Amino acid sequence: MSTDMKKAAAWLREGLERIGVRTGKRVPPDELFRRFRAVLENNNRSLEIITDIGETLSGDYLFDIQYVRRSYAELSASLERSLASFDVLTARRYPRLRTVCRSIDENIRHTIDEASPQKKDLVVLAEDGDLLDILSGADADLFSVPGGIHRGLDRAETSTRPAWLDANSCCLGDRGL
Amino acid sequence: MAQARIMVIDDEKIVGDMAKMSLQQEGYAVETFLSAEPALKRLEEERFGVVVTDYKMKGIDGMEVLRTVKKQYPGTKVIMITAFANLDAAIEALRGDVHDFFPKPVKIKELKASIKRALEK
Repeated sequence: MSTDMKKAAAWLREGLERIGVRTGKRVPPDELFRRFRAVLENNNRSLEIITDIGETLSGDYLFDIQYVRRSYAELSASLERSLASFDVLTARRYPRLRTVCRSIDENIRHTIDEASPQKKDLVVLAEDGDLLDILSGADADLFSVPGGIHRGLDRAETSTRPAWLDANSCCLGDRGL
Repeated sequence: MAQARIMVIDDEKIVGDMAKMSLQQEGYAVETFLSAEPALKRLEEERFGVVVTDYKMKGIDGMEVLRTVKKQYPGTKVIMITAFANLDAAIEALRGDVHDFFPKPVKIKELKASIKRALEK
């Protein structure tokens, strides 16, 4: 198929999907069920995180911005997973939902960043196991690694790239990744 | 009876503010510091019953505070709190004779109980 034909087909498919006509391959029932369960599970997890945040911020706990950041990253990742499955279930008929979600996510992250004290963080993203082994493994706390790699930093940790992307999935554009 | 003095060291203001508000309700005299350096200077001037310190801070960290307090003010108990809880940190703190070690978020009720126990010892 020529490039023009491909473009025309994509344009037509997009238009049909926008008005609710399914054009893609039919999703097998077991995959649909798996996605449906994923939506429910991730929604439940999101509610659990929201409840935990609500309880912690009620005034009965001493918490710091790391807690807020960590909890929100988990919530955001959970919502993202739910949305991804919802997209499959609904044949991507609600693209605006993702746009709105991303906008809310950016606002919340911005608010958290503004509330944070000025901190310098280092995250080492390692593609191979060798580097992680040297740095004491994934999710290692680099403050415990001898040699002063953390000097002058407030937080220093290792992560695998997929794990880090998962935890920061909604702000990739901001970080130029 | 004189009020027991509690020192809180944490580089996040919200932690010190919340701790101060809660502990003052219990009748303690509370002083908060955003870093260890001025806190250790203050310890030279005044005796504190308990020092509640963050584990990881810029400059002098919580372990250094623990070592200094234990060496120079053995009667003062140290309670450590941390957002980066791991077993190694807890073991290191326990070896340094920390009174208690809490991962953040810390239940204020538990912190109060720990301070009470520390002051009774």
